[in-house]
Amino acid sequence: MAFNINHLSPVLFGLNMSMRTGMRLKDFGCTRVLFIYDQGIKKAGIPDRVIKNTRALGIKVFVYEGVVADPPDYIVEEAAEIGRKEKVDGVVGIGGGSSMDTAKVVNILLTNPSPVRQYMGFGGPPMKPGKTLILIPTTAGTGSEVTNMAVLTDSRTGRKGGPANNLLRATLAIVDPMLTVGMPPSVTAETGMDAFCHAAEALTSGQANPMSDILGEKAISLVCKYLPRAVKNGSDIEARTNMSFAAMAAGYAFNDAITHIGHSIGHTLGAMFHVPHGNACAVAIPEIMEFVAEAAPAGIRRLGMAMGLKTDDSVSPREAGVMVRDAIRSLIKEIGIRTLKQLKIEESALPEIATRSATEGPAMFSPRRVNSDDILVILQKAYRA
Amino acid sequence: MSKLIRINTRTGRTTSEELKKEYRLFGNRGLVAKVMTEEVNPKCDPLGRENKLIMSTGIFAGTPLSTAHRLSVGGKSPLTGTIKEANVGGNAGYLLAQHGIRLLIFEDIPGGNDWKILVIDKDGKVELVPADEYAGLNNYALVEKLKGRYGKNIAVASIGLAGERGYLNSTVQVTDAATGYPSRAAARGGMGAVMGSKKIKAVVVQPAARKYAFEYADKNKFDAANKRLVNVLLSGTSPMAGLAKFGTISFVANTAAMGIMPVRNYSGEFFDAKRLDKINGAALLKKQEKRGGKNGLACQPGCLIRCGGIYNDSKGNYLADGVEYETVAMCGTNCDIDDLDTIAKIDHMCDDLGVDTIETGATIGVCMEAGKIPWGDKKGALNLVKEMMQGTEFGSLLGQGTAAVGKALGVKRVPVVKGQSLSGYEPRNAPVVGVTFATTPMGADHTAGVMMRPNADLMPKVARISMSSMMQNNMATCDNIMCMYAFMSTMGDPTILPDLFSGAFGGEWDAGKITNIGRQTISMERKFNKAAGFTQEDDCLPEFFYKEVAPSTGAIFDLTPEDMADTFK
Repeated sequence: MAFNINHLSPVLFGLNMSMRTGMRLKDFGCTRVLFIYDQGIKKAGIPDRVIKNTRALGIKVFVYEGVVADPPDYIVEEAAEIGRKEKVDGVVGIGGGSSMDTAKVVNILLTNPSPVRQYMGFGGPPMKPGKTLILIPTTAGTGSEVTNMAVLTDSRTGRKGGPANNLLRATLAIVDPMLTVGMPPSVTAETGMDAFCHAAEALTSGQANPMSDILGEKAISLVCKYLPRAVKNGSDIEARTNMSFAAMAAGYAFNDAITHIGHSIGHTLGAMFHVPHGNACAVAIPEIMEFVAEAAPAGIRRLGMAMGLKTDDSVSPREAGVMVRDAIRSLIKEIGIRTLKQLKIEESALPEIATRSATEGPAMFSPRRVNSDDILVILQKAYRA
Repeated sequence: MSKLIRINTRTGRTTSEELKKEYRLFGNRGLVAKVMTEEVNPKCDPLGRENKLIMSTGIFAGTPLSTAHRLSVGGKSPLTGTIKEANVGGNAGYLLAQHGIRLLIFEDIPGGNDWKILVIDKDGKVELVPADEYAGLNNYALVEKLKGRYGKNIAVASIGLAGERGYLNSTVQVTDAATGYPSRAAARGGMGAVMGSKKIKAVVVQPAARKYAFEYADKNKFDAANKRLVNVLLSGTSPMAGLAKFGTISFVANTAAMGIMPVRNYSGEFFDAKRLDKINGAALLKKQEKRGGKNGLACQPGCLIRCGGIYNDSKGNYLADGVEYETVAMCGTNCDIDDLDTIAKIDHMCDDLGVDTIETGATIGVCMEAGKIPWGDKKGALNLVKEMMQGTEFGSLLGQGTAAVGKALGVKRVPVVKGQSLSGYEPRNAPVVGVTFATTPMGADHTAGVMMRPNADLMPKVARISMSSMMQNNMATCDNIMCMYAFMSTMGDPTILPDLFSGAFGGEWDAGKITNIGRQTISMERKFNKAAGFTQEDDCLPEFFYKEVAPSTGAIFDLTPEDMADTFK
């Protein structure tokens, strides 16, 4: 057995801990910092307090407020230009995956030449370390706060991709469950299912390792217990706290195990139809788990047991796959995840989705070789479910 | 042998006794605890006949140990209803030691309205003399007049009008060795009012013609240990070395950056860095460069810490003695005031009137919270202190302390424990200090044990309580011996304190045996408070620290009296 464990991001976790951002920046010696977030986060008033505390400690603050979902490369270039011009020595990303991923790459561009496109995917030029980076999630799903990768949209091809390198890791992740309290139920459900897919795909990944197994199992059991509660009552602090932890644990899990078919489909639906990422990854996840069950017998059993199912040695991997499929389907129905039909995606679009998904990077980490025909079958099953 | 003097304020009779053997290994705070538990009814009226006013000196008083000559002023506090010991630098402890006096115990109250001063002359004669010509004076004028009568080199421990009027925030002021001004305050708990209730305006001590000689068990051993401490203090390697440059105002920058400095009546906010730059150590130095003034002054003879200083006004005239951290915190940031001149003026007025700058700053903060004057209103703050001086109706209320003012103005957020204001440390961001504030027998008081560790709220409850316990035992020990800054400077060489004890008193000493002095002190104090009617439920911070998240850090204070019940286990 040989594997990498790269998830060494330090974390400050806890209710209201985002208020300590300025103190931590000061500890890191920062004097000029670029905050990166989107308009939704701004309207929710989340950056105000964090920035106020940072300024109060004598740190000069610059802001980039223009992050959009599935951030295109030119957004990153815009933000990086501000950072370079103002000679910042730190970057703070506040928000969901889009803002945090933008911040990760902007931080790299402070010390490495543009364009960002040259660092996307494998085989780009070597990178130098960036400056101080603090990431603060406002959703409980992406896990980006502790991963070493960023997902951007290549504005030339419309496809998703991004640098994956330990230099992208945050100096510190500050995970403050209070920041997730304002999420509406649909966003809670979608982002929560993103965390579920990270963990489920990590558990069944061809690159799963004992550490990712531990983290994935914990994340799955917490999502099953707390996501329905968080969707039902957004002010349920216990549920919010456990979901924030679950998302972080799932981030650690997939950072090294890597996701697979669920995220290949997710990226494709995001690029083609702008389906919210968590929903896009979840639409076919029940059928994907059934598909990989026999190729990842240990993983599917772990996943089932973490969900509270009796998927031990008394059932076959195939049976375990069916049990897991039905349980996930029931969970996503309960929390209101939209199906392909509800997303108004025509059945006739499925072949193209399948074709594009098969060439999306994560699919190669499936424990079972998968091609566009396999994905089409998966999608058709999901369509009828 | 050293002695204790009893002064019956009703009869005017003074008696001298040899200090009991069992008292010898207690000093300052420990002696107050001893006398209070053995001689005073815990349920007594603090301003009535049964309470006693105690002044005591340290275990090593009369030796050349640096900072061995603090003076403690104790009794039952009219502010808190608890036992109280407030200690102070200055030259009074030093001169009392020259006369071999470890304890002064003022008993009873006079029948009439005649004020007295207690004079200890150069020959050690102790006498109560009429003070009609001194009554009605505030401390600076009083000391000037007393020096004219008794000599320039005297030490004075006195009360201003605040003590005469029975203000519960009143101090006993002591003359500073460097400046000669009554700028050193035994500040907390209203001991000035206790002194005033006994109609004692001042204690005057002349330098002794024949100096008391400390009886060492092994003088060479003592001297060698003392030399090691002197070397630490002179080498600049002491963690307290910076105090000679700035004074305690040097703590401002770090405490503020940790959210520990109180801002706008303990709102839990940060104080803006740009405004902080106007009231920190660097700002003080800058002003001193322009206006003159001094740092590095020793408040008591032989002190090598030298945290004292002189602050001048813009014309270069004396405005106040060194502006301490707690004064800047309570009268500055806590009131949203970012002007050193205003803070220094308040400081000076408080010293002159004889009121506690900490309690005063907290009271002004509560007035601001109530909307009586706006946040940051410098003139308004100065006027409130003037009202206290003038004894107007509202000024008299202010003199009753933060709790009374909060109640009268209907303020919900009143930062007091056992009736005494928190002293310049935000307990949500300094939770170890929070435990100390809640549990010390003195009512909220930082001198009982401070630890400023960032993010200490993330540590387990038991760890936070344990750290407070350790600090409280250490500080109670220190409060029997010397100034905390010199005490902390002994920590680098664990042989210094045991050898000092062994050299002075004989026998084998180790850290455990020394710290036991502090433990016994706290134990006596808790026994007194329990008999006075205090229970576990009183060991609690105000509710808002438990309910409001500190906006600077997201912390709340979450240690209940039940959690903290084992603090002194």
